[in-house]
Amino acid sequence: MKKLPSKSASLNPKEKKHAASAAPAQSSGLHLHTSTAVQKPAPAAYVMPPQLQAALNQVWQKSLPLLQQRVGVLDDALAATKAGQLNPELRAAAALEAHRLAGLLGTFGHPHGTDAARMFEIVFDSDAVLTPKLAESLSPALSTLHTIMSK
Amino acid sequence: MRKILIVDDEDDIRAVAALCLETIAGWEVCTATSGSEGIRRALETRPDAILLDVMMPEMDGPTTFQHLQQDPHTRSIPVLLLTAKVQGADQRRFADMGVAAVLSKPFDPLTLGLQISAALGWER
Repeated sequence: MKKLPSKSASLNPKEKKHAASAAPAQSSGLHLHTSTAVQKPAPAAYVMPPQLQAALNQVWQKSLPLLQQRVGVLDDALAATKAGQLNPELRAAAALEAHRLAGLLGTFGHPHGTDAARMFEIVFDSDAVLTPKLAESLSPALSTLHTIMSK
Repeated sequence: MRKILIVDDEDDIRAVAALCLETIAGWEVCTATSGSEGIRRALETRPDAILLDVMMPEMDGPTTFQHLQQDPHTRSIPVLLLTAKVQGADQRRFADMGVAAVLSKPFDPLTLGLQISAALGWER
């Protein structure tokens, strides 16, 4: 798990106001090659108490097997697409797992993981005909997810 | 002390959100793993707010919200939807339902409490 900012400083009202407005970035247009709703990192002045950091690490470690399973579904879907054998059930499962990964990885300090998973979600949740060429374009995103899962 | 109910079918999301809201915001947190359990827990615990995931099996967040709105005991509890849906149309549709706010996943663990407080006008 990527370590989150941990500078020890308390929040003043101005910082609190800034933080309150620092909601995750929204994007109305979804494109495969653009960053989507990955929220801005917390301002450096924010405190990550060591106990919380440790607890988050524990949650990450506990969640890792399930997250790896989810990435495994994307593996299967991508392989099936490349082979021209993707069925609707696997496609739907891949879209769901990608959605879940996209919604979680950024929280653990992996915004690139959210980006990568979002690409899968966009593609598998669309009505587009999935060609082997399109599947090939997702390979770097899959590598990103595997790298994160191996940390 | 504020009390918040987190309703999400994903264990990791519930765990992280609860950790952050307890540790950083200092709130009392209760959790539910489904919409139907969330409705029961809302009646039992009468939280100050409900953080409700949109995409859940069986009963999704919007349907759960409608049930909460229909019950006079839970109608006045502010609900914040939590969603990984990033398309503007989805966000507007959720906002138009009458929820207090729509928060995006992934959320920042350090500022989740501040986002909720800001959305609800709570003093910190």
